[in-house]
Amino acid sequence: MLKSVLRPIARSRLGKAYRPYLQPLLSEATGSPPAWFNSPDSWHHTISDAFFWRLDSLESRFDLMNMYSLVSPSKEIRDLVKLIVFSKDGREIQRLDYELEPHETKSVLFGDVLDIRGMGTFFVFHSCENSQRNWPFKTCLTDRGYTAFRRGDASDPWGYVHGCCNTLVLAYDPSRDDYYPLTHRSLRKQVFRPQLRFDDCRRVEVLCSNPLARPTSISVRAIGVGNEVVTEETRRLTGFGSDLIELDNASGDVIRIEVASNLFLYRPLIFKHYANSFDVLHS
Amino acid sequence: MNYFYTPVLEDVETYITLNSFPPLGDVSEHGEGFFIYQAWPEGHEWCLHSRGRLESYDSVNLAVLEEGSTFPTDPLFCFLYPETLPDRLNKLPVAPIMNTPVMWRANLQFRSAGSVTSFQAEYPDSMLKIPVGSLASFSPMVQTGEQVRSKLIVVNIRETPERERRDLIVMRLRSKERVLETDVWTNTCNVVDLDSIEYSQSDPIGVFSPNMAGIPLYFTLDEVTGSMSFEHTHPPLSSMFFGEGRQEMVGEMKRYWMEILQNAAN
Repeated sequence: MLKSVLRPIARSRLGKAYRPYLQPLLSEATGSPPAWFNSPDSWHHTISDAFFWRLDSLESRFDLMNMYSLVSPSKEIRDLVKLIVFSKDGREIQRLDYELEPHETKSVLFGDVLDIRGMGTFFVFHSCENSQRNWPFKTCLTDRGYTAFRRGDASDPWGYVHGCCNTLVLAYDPSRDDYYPLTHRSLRKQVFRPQLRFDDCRRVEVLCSNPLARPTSISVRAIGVGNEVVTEETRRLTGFGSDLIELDNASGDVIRIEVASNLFLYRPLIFKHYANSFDVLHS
Repeated sequence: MNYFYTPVLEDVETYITLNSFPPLGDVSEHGEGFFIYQAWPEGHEWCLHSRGRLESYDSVNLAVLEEGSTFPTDPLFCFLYPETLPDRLNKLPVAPIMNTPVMWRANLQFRSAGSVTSFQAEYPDSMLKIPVGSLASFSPMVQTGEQVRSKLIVVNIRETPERERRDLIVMRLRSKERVLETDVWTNTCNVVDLDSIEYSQSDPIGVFSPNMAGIPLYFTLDEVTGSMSFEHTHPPLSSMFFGEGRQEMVGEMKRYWMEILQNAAN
């Protein structure tokens, strides 16, 4: 009932203008962000998670897949992929275009395509020719795919992690070659507790990104064995900006962490560093 | 309620971190703690072994094999439950507990001599009731090389303990060539060797089962350095689509692929 009344309003021009204010109120009332309220403007638009790239002591890679071939395997559709890269301070720094043959997979090695070092986020959008004919469905294609990291000086296997941090962040309109945000700020602070332990590793890196177009703050609390706060660090991130919070855990004092923000279902990417290796996982 | 799986592989040790706090929301809404159980099927019953209790906010990193344990290593599953349970059950419990906006997970970890790899794992109890199901997994995560070992792990857990034979097919997506066909079993962490498959980016592989639901995991081990990689693929429903028509979309997509599988077999 609520959905049938509110959805047409939400999708109207006036509704879209007021979404940043209405969505937190509605989420507060229903307990979680209603997915339908955040629908893109058209089913022909595609959606991407926020993925991290980093070129420091680690290399990064993303594997593109022809998603149209997966959906309609009997059709020979070329996937026109747009990869939009943001710097740590939230500036769009590069747009990369790829064309994938039917069923093709292609690896993007960030060290080969970016001229800068450091870290940031990127988004992956798919489109195809004749999308009206090739995409008659009432659903949007989303890329929540696979990023991989490896030590720069090693020939080790790549450590893979799938999208999950900052899910469904931006939608892309191929006809305008432009993107728009799908997520909004929550009214109340949410505290996320990654369900893992950190006392087995020497150093932890928590990679945070801001899925909003405007600045927001994210706090990482390191929690000890008696549930006491060992340290707390807060970062102010610019719109679409990102940052890395490092926790030294040589003493093994940090058992778990908490991440507080005004972002819905917000989860950072975590790197656990051991003596000779690292582990990367979505939290 | 979620279950957790603990595959046992050669040359690595399996650990699992279990948590008695939710990822989001009020901890007190989830009671005062949980008992830890390991479960394995034996004939028409599930056998249970208690590994102690976790109080609120506690977590524990357990070696999957307890010293001196005599129960089978595979299949072996874990779960948390607020009450004590008998040693044997006809069905695994399905209960409205541990429901959170972000899934309640465990950290499944493999340790080699040189490295540690893990991921946040769970097997929702809603999947225990799937009578047959199907599986389609599209992953670029298969890594090959002279000293590299690649394995696919397909986890299936059902409410009832019977282990039934099902089919798993690895097929090249473009040429539709079947490169591997093998039996898999329900209520098992099935481990399939992918070393013999040459991975091609122009004709990548997909993993399919026409008659078993499950969670596919991709594991890589460098035999010389001990470095590892481990991650799962999401089902197409949550990884590829957003919007009201996505259930129908996934149904249609799976029908396409199952027809192709059928035709490739004829």
